[in-house]
Amino acid sequence: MIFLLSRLSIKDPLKLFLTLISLTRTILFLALLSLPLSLILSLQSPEEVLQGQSVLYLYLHVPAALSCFLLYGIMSCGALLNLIWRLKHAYFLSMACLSPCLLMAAITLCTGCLWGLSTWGTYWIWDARLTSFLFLTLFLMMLFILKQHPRFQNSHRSRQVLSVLILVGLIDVIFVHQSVVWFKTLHQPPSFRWDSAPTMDSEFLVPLSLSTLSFFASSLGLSMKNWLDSLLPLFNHKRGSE
Amino acid sequence: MTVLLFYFITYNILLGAIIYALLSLPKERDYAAISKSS
Repeated sequence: MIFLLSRLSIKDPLKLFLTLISLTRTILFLALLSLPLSLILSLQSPEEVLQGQSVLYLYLHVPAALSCFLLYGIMSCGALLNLIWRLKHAYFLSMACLSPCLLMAAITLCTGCLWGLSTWGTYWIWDARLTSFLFLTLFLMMLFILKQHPRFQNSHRSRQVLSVLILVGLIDVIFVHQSVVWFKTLHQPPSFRWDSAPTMDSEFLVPLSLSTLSFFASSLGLSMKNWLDSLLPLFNHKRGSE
Repeated sequence: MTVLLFYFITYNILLGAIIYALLSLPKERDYAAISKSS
């Protein structure tokens, strides 16, 4: 993606724009196919011994949280590229990821509360993981509102301010991810770990992996569509001058 | 039952957004003309 961004500002932007359109279409089609499949697999998965039917929240909560982290990672890369090399398109990419990231954070928070009610007996507890994630959601909402404000439209200074804010928020994302390791929390440890194989039974792991992939494809596809929309005026201007 | 309702809401939002995004994607042929002329 970074390679694509650097190419975008140097060589033949139109060719890259056309490639991005086909790539976005492919990712969106992939999401369109994998979402119903993951839904079927999730609903067919067996009930868990302790949690019963509430285990179904797993296939919404974990993929949405991971997608939120993925999108925030992309947003941070875009903000960093904008701050270092003043790449306007990279800033547009980070802003394009904002609304899908907020949607994923909202899904995570809502499913987490409902899952908590059925397993812990309460919607909410001021736990390190839950509180830091609530803070992240509110922070994303603040960025979304700031982005809509007329004073934050298309000036170099506003782009710099929002990029710095996104990088500040990255500290909270790292904190959210590590909170279950650093603190004694009611929230369970991460479902996927990079350094060890998953301990989950394959009956739950397969639908969870497919839902995660479908959520990744959906959030990436929607972000890329937003990004294309923000690049459109550049090429529409060329079309107009034909 | 709540979990099924939540599945319905989430998948409706996601599938709706994806179908909308697919339908409103810019068409390559509209922009290919620029590359030919330039």
